[in-house]
Amino acid sequence: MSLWDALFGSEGQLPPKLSTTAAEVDWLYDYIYWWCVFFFILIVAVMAYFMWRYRRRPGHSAQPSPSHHLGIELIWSVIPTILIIPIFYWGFTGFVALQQAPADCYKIEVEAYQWSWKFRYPTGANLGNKETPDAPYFGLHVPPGRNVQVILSSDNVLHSFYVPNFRVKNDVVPGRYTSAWFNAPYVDPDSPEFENWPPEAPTRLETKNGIYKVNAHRLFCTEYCGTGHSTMDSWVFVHESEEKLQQYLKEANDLWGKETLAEVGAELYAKNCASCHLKAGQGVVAPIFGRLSDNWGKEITVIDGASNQPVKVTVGRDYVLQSIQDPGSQLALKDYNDQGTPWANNMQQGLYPTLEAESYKGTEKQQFVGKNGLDAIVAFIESVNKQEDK
Amino acid sequence: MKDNYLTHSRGFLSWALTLDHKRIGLMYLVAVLSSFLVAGIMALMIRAEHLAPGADLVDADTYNRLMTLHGAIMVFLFIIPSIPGALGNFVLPIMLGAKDVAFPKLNLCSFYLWIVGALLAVGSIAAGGVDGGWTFYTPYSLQDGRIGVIGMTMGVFILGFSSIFTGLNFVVTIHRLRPPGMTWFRMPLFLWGIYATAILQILATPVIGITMLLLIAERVMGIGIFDPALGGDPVLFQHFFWFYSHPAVYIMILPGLAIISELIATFSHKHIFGYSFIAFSSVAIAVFSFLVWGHHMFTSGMSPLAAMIFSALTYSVSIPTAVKIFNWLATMYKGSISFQTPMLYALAFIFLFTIGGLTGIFLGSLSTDVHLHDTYFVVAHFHYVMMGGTVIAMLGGLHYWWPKMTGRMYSEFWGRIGCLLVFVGFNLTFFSQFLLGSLGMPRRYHTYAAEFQSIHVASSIGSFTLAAGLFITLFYLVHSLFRGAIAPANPWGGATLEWHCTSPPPHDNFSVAPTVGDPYDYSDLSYDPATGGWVSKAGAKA
Repeated sequence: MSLWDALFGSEGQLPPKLSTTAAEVDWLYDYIYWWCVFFFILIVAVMAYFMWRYRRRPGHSAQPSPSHHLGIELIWSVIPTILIIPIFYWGFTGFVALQQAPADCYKIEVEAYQWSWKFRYPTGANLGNKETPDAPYFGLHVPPGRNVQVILSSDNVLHSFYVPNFRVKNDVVPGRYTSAWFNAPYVDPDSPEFENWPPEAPTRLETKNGIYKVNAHRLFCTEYCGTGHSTMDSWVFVHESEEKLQQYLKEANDLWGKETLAEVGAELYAKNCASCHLKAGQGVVAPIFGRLSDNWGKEITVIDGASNQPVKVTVGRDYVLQSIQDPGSQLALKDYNDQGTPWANNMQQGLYPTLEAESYKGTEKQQFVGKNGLDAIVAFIESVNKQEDK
Repeated sequence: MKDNYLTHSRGFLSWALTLDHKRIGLMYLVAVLSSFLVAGIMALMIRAEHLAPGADLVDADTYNRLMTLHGAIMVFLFIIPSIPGALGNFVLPIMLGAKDVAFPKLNLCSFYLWIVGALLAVGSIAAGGVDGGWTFYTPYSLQDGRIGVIGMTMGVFILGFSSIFTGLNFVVTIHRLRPPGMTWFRMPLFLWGIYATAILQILATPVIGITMLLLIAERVMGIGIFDPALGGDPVLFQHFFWFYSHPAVYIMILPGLAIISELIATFSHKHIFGYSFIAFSSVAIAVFSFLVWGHHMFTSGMSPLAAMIFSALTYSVSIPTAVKIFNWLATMYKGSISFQTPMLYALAFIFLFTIGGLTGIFLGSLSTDVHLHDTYFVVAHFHYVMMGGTVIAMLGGLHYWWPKMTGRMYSEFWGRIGCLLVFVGFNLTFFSQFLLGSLGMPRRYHTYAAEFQSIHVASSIGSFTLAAGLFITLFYLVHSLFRGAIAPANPWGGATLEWHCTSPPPHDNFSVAPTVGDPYDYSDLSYDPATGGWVSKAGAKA
């Protein structure tokens, strides 16, 4: 890419078009660009000509000419108005295409936090944004030639998901889900048609099990988010085939030989939780988890630990995670569990956590299970409900 | 030297407690230019940091503060008050044929509010944690440790009142203090521009005041307004912020456009073309500017319907702006164009503002904006409009009215050199940034990816050239105060009323009530080589 190329519109000014929607955006960009070049040259040429022709010099003085002319003024108001209408229209239709994801998307949850990204795949794999010795698998991995939708969320401040090669950008807003979609082709890095931007983008990922050929595209955070804002970047890797992608993800998400996250959760649960928290029944020392599975997705009333007032919550990932990590924050009502369990006898309003439960935080058990382990356990609890539906 | 406003009374208090609009204008000038210098030095540090991709000169937190303060000081302390506060205060009453503004005490109060606001804003640096960018988007600006944001927003709140007072003063002055003969359509176009600006200042500024108070309430009392953790909505803040800050963009640019109308006519020695179109386009811009704030948020997850409406309204503002450029060119037609420093700035303005305006089309169009939003393309676009537009116009106006304000002429030679360096340096700095942005370089980045380095280096070299031009300008202007030739009453051949009084003007502006005529009729003026100024032919004969 050279300065000379940059004179000729999108080919020299924008990164290569590496998604299906990029071509449409670039076409409009060029359309606007050439009109701008036309008007800029027109204005500057007229200005330069007048500067030379009517320069103040001996023997030259200002000549009379009308100081207004309605016709001319209307013409140069109306012509730009007419020219702008198609630009507006194509901008809008292109925007709708960028915003409305097709129905059959491969969905990936993308969580932004200060100052990194977490990519959660349908298989349960969780990857970070950069390669580290502890996490050799990283980045946003997508299948080739398939519609991919990223579901964006943030736990505290604003971020923005931006892949220049795809012309895709969407803010990540805490407290709500936003999304973006794209469809990126895969081109063999060894073929002459392959376009690489930036030049140092990796074309191969080496893992302990082999080499994966990829097309890599930069992923940036484009909404200011603090100290690490400019280092909150990652790569989008388009794999050779969907099979290769699945193979990579399986490798990345070492599931102890299991197929799904829920199965991992079942094993973790059995090892760490099941001795106290049974699925159902009486005479146990801790809340049963079967009620969670049964009520999954439904609203229940709990006592807010801070205010001691009843509040409504939806039984789901957030509620379960919160209750495991901070048992005192939302207390289940007495009639929520079976009456007569030894640990619930003395409760007035809510089920207070026992000392053992409170002491989960910061224990070896927590360290062993870890954040990803908790995700697996939650997936397990959710899956119990789904299995019964079938 | 005859008695004038500078020599009318002496001593510190005669300035500190002055009610003379000219002295207040001059104090504003010193204040806003000092802010420009401070924020400009921050910009140079930012550009020096970007000579290489890594963290070289400053660490990330320092960079983020520099970037934030550069933006906040430039916008709130410099550009918004620059032309209305400094040049407007000085020139407006004289152009109108009045002895002062309608409320001289309010005028002084507005200046002191500026001082208080500036001290609070800059003082909050010490408190630390002012690093959210000049937009202070929530919930980042509400995170723990950002105590400085409270001081900063309080400062912005107070600066808002300073702006409202100035606007109010100008509106009342233009309505009530026009002398006999000065009808609305005999007013110089500078006054129309300032009038439209003043309306915006009065109507839009309260919104940012309220927003900043809500931000403080949330931060101090923990009421959930903008922070999702407390049940608030961060996008609501963006709506509130831009509901003010988009009209504020026009508070910044309308006075600049207004100055250019004066310069082009005077130095072409030609009646301005399409007076009423230019006058009404200022008012049209002011009205439309209230309806376009959403175009800052196309990627915030706005509904396509809302985005469509904001995109359409955005384009409706571009038309009256384009009309002004065509009118200026038509004014030059068959004129007698002199290339003195103020005119060079006016011509540079047309060049730069055209680029700034045209690149706005890429951003107003929805699908292309998705790619360009929050990249250097946006940075380049608004610098072309704010600096290539407003600051260049302000420099043009400053050079135009400098002899009137100080009674001295600056060096024309160095003036042209300075303007040339500013023009070349500016284009190198910011045209490069269009390319950075279209290639995908996000804004507000301390470090950047290696593929962007060569363009960043070009931009930095441009910024140092630009700085050299501005420092030369500072030196010859200060030099002229001591060594400059004595300025004639009308050095450029202007026909508006301020050129009828002496340079510098007397304390009461006019010793005899001026006759009000067409502000762009130059037929009565002829150059008088003896004084180096223009005199009335009718007056010379008599």
